Amino acid sequence: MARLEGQYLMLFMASLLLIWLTEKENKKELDFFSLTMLLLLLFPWTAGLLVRYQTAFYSPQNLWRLLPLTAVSAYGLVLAETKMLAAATQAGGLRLRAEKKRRLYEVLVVAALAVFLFLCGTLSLGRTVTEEKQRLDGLPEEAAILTYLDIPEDDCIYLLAPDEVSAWARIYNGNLLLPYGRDLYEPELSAYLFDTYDEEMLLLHDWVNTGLNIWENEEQEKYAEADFLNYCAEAGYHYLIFSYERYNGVLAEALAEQDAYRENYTTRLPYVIYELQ
Amino acid sequence: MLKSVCKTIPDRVVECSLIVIGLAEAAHLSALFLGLSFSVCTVILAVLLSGGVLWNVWTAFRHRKQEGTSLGQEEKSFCKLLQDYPGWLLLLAGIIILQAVWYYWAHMPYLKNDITGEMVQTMLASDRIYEVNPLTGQAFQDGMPMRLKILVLPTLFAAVCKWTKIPVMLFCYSVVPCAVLLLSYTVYLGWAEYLFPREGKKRILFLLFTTLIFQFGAYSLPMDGYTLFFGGFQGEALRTGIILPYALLCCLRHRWRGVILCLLAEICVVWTFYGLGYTAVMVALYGGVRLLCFWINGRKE
Repeated sequence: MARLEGQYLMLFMASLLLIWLTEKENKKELDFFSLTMLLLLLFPWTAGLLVRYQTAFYSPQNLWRLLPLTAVSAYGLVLAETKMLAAATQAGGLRLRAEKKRRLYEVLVVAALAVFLFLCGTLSLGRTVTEEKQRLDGLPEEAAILTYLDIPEDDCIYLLAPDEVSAWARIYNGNLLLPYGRDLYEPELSAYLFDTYDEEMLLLHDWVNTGLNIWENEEQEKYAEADFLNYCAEAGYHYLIFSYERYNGVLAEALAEQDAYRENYTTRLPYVIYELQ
Repeated sequence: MLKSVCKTIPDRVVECSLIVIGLAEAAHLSALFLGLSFSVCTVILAVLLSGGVLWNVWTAFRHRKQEGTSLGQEEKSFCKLLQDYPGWLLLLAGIIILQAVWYYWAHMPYLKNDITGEMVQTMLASDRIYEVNPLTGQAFQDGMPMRLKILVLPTLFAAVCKWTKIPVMLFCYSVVPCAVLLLSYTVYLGWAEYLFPREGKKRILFLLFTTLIFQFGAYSLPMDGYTLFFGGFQGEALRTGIILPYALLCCLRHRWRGVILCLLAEICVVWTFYGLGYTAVMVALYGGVRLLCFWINGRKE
């Protein structure tokens, strides 16, 4: 069964109760609806039926979106604010004409409810799941090497690069072609496409990222690296990008000894670019 | 009763955006099934949108003539709110602006499980609609499922990028999520008007709490804030932030035209169970609850 992190489900249920106890008949429809939806999502059989309804393709967690959590909780919080303000003004013996004091009480009550929301929620003022933007062109630091490529406006060129770079290549520029897509190393994406990859592409992916690390001696490895470079040149891969980590002694030697590619740029980024001659 | 059926400014804004999605879907499907190029699709879309804008201007003009100053009254009530509670409104606007800047301009987009950017770039580069593998840029070997091909958002985004020359990454990952967030707040403004018809301050507080729930509630996948902040460019964000809350609001106000628009819009932006999405479940359940309420009230009488 799906689980809801944080405490907002409790807040939602408390809001339902508050609406039920304080509001007039015409708002009870919302309460009825929300309660029924909550029960449908909590009860295993009905939740199972709903999972089947969404063809089990999506995660069961998605179903919780059916609950009007934001609207009901915000409604409940406004009602709570009204009740708290009334209680505070009564306790303080405040008369309505003391407008300034009333406003102060109002601000304090809203601030208290905001703190309550914070404590029930992320416990962070601005929680994010991605890193801060480093560059103005919208690329993350590890993919910024793409800006060094000379991409024609009316023609397509092939790029072979490590995952962290190639993941952004097609988003950065539609004229950059890749031998394999993100779906090779992000299996969830295979739901979007019927296309699959053969063994050759898997080897190529491993080679450009980490190397194959299966060779018995350096000579064999050097021969294999040269073989892969030949394959890339024959396939017409215009740019090859390697991380410094991958660009170790053997690959560097193989690159130095071949004629198809020449080193393109020296950048401050931890990558080397080779361009087809 | 009559008042609840009348359209408010939030209704107009949200329904216009849903109609834009519908028109884009019409252009997209005609191009997809007739094998037309993306450029032709954008021309069809431009014609449909122009028609839509003209129709909207005409109906708005006619409404103003027939109903007098209903729009003017709403504008006046907003000005009164601004005069009476400038502090609260400023706080609200400040939080919304900070959210937009923090999530969509200061942080990288969350791309897991999403290929929107690739699809938009592919359409622009290849001038074809779903004929090229968006992840590699090469011709498809086996293609992609029809259930995804009918989704319209990438085509709409690509068309806007083509017309405005805005960079794809900027448009998809910053501009679109901002627009979706604002539309979502517009829907909740509609909720505030429904829940507190004559209480301006409570409306503002309702919106303020909504912004805080989005902000501090972005801790897990099903939360509205999470979807809007980390996947605001996806169809899922439109469904969670706009379509579902607006559909429920329309149900509560018995505005069935709005419900139908939501049902159709969901099919255009998210893969549903062959046309039956979450909105259909919501509407069916609402119908059941309403019948139950009638039955209980009948027994009481």
